[in-house]
Amino acid sequence: MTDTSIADSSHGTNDQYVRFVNVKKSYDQRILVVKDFNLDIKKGEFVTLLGPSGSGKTTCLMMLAGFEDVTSGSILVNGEPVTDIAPYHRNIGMVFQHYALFPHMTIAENLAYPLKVRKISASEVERRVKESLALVELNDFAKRYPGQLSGGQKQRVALARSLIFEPSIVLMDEPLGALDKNLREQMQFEIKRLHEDLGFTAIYVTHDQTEALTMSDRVAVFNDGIVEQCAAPEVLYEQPANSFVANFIGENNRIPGTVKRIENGLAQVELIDGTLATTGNKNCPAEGAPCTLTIRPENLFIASKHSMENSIQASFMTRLYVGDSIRYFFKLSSGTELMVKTLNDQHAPVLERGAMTQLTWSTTGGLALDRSE
Amino acid sequence: MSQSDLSMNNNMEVRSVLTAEEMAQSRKMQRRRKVIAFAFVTPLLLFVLIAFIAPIGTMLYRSVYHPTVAQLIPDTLDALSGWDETTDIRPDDAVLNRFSVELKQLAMTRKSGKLGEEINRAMPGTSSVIKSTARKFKKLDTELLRNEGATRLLASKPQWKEVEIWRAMKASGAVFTSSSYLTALDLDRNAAGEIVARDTQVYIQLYLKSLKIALMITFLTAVIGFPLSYYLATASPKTANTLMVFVLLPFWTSLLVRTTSWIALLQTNGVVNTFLKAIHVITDPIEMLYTQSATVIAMTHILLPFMILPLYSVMKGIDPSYLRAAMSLGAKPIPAFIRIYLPMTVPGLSAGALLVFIISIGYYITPALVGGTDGQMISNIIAFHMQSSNNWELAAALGSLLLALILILYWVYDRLVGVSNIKLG
Repeated sequence: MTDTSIADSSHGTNDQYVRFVNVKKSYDQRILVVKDFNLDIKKGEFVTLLGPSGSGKTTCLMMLAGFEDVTSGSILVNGEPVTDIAPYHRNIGMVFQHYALFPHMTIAENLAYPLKVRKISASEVERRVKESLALVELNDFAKRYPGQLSGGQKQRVALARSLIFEPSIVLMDEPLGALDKNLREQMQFEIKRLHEDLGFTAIYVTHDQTEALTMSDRVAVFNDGIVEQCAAPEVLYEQPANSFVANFIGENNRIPGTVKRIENGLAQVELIDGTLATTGNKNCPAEGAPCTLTIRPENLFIASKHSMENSIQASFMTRLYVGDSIRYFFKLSSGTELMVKTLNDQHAPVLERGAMTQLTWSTTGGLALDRSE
Repeated sequence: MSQSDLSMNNNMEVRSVLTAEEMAQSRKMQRRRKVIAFAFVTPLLLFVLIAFIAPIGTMLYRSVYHPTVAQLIPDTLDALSGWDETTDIRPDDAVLNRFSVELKQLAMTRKSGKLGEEINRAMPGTSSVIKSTARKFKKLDTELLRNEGATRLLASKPQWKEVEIWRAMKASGAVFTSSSYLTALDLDRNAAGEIVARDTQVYIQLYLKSLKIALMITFLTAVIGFPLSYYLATASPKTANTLMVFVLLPFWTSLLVRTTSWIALLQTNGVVNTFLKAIHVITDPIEMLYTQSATVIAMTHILLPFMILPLYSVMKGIDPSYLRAAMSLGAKPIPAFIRIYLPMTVPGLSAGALLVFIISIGYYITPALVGGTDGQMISNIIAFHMQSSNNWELAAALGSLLLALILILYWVYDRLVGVSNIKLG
């Protein structure tokens, strides 16, 4: 992208409500932690920045919020560059990982704070605080202090506070990171509900892929300062752009191999133990190139009577009883380990340790991707 | 209700309440833990008892217990107990006779000077009267004094005829007395035994001055310490550690060295004056040493770490996202700082203030060295009475009052700030 794209977007459309254009960031004037970040976010969209810690996702969020300056490139909101606007004038709501509720103020005072700094009349403040408490179902908590609330309640207050001044954009920096699993799921639902009801543009940072997949319209997968892929959850999961995305999102079996031949949109891959397999993905490496065949555990089956297009011999190691599913672990002759996930029903086979078993998968079940690692 | 329901209810009861045996067992365990915990603190407890509680107790006791005169002239005081000091008639001759005998005995054992010193405190000028009479009586026979001591006494010095000296003697003779406290509060008893203000007001003013100096130092350390602590708390760990060494450096140098270096800085031809003259800010040197400001400046420097350390530790614990949150909510940096950050530093600020204030109000060595007469604090006077004037009772009374003052201020402070809010580290 170049300057022309900035010029084009200067009016700002609903499709390009928030724009990151060639954004780069360095903290020490030597190493870039964000390398050429480009992202267009639609108005009202829920976009998640997902990546391992230190991949630059929080930095991007902080640059949009105005707490970090942009080393080069520009950030536009509604077509206007925001780089020179002070954080307190950007009108962007923000939810922090540790809630950042002011401990010396009651819940009501916390909620009223953004309204009071905007010099809104007392009666209006009172009305909106009440409304806001009702929105997050904490009507009876107005007089309490943050210290008297549970983690989930605190996060709901933090959410309400970031929304009470009606910002068009809400940033969330790992807001559920400090909560336990059950509460986290409940809060994901809550955030989704608020997003759908109020229609704000949400930019959400997390390192939890399940959270990213369940909540987002689109997910940008970060790795080492660059975006590996930005797409809808199902695209990320089913058609990962490269092996990083494939491995980062969900579980995967990875078998090293080489692309033998590409014919009629089907690629033949020779796996490490000599087995031949066919796949049909578009982003397959060129003929003769090394590749990784990735198969999701739920797409790999233990062959019973009839097998699918591809199959491989493996010895059974052990199984993990998860409850609703069972995970079977196998080992190829080359040493590569494979996992099969099956539903815990009457078809779940019982295997003996060391038994040679045939595993099978369909042409669409496996993807030949780059072998970067 | 069926049989099984009943048995279930019984089971529930058994589960929630301990049996007598289990209770005894659990009590035993708890006792054991308490004994072990006590054993751990015993050495410290003994130390505190010997090195802290006992001396303070002795001090409090000494401020009211004054047996010296009672030990010197027990017989006279016994005789004086029958005399009404509120009248203007001096005690009868029998009393004077008994005193003459005791005075002679004191003269023989070289204790008459001590008596003179003691009575002199109650009535200035009596010391010489007692001493010269004692010198005369030394040569006289005890039997003679027993019979005509009164006549000899009245003949030796005119003061013996007056009623005041006997009043002073009876008052000094009391074993338990409030006179030290009255003196410490600039009060006195008049002839009628009523409490009246003294002509010269010394100690109350000194207390007020000490309070003022301590408050000034507390304020200054807070003003200087707050920005530095904030910088330390937000700086990178490397910078913060380096700067922390400079904050702690004063702790590692002798207090005496630090105080005397202030003398070198502040004296008439010292570093500060020479510098100011060199840059033509002043033509004549400013008198800075041996003033109240010298005390304040030097003590502010010495006590600064006590403010910085608690402040720093509290600020370090404040998540920077609070300020960010406030700004994202639309608050400008300065209002956000005042409304959000400052209240969160109160535990550290109050801990530092309390530490600095309590340490500075009883500070001795720095005011003694750089304070001159103007910069003296209450502890210097206490030390004076301990070392020079040998009036331990007054020193004890002054010290006890200082202790009471601090306790009262602590109570007020607790009501205002709340001691539970304090965070020391």
